[in-house]
Amino acid sequence: MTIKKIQKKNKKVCNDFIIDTKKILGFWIYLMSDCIIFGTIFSVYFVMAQSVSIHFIIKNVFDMSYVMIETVVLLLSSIFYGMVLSYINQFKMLKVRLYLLITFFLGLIFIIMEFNELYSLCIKQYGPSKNSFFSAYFALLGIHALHVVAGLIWIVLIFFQSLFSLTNTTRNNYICLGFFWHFIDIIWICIFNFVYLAGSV
Amino acid sequence: MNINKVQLYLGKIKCCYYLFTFLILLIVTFFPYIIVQKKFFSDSFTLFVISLFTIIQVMLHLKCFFHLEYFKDYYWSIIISFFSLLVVFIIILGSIWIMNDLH
Repeated sequence: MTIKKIQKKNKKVCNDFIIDTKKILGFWIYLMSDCIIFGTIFSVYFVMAQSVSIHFIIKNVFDMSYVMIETVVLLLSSIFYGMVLSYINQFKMLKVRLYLLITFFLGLIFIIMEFNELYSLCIKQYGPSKNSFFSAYFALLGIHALHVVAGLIWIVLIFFQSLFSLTNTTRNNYICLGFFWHFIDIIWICIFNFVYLAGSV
Repeated sequence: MNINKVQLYLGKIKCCYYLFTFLILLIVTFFPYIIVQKKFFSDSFTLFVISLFTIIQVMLHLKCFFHLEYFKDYYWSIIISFFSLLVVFIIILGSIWIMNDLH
């Protein structure tokens, strides 16, 4: 479909196609400051991990295949959100709602798995008060989990917004949520590689 | 032309693009995992491979999902992200260096 056809078809919904890039740039600045927050928590983790033999802990306490499944689930939800953005720009709102729901449920599966992992660590007497490694680990994973919960709440709100018609303002919301969701995925990749994989070398 | 490039670009992306992206990202995720599990290389080289693949994964995510190059404020966002990366590296490397020195 050519641009003019899309424009003609959606004239009632969107008069002009201009994205408010100032809003997106502002959201990008927020994401980068969030990146600095994660950087400080990572540095705390790296410093704390030197004090104990993490090789022993990660080999015996963590289940690597479980963490791998978590990574794949979060990657899948990220992919589905990419599809949401693609369908937003084709004005297929029915598919947008469907893929938003899929993204939400994959994110929910991820957060349940992550809480289950942290909870089973607490049950096995490896809680945050065990030693300095575990307090840094719980701080890192807990703050990431809080971000995922915030993203899930945002997805629910966006889902209710998608029941109404698409305007220029609401399209910015979809793009900003996409940035946030993919950012969470990038942080999880860093956690997976630097905490789990590098720890078990 | 009043139409932003993002619209045109993102609207054209098909589902098979995302399937392809998913396969590539899956391979890039599984490769360091298998290396660590099977112990192909020595410890220091494995750490190097893991950090290399982390950089590749982050780059792929930025390329495939963010589509930053199609935004109007592309240069500003690149400058901001470089600045925050600089701050993050100063924080991480600086704290590791100081703590090693104190030991």
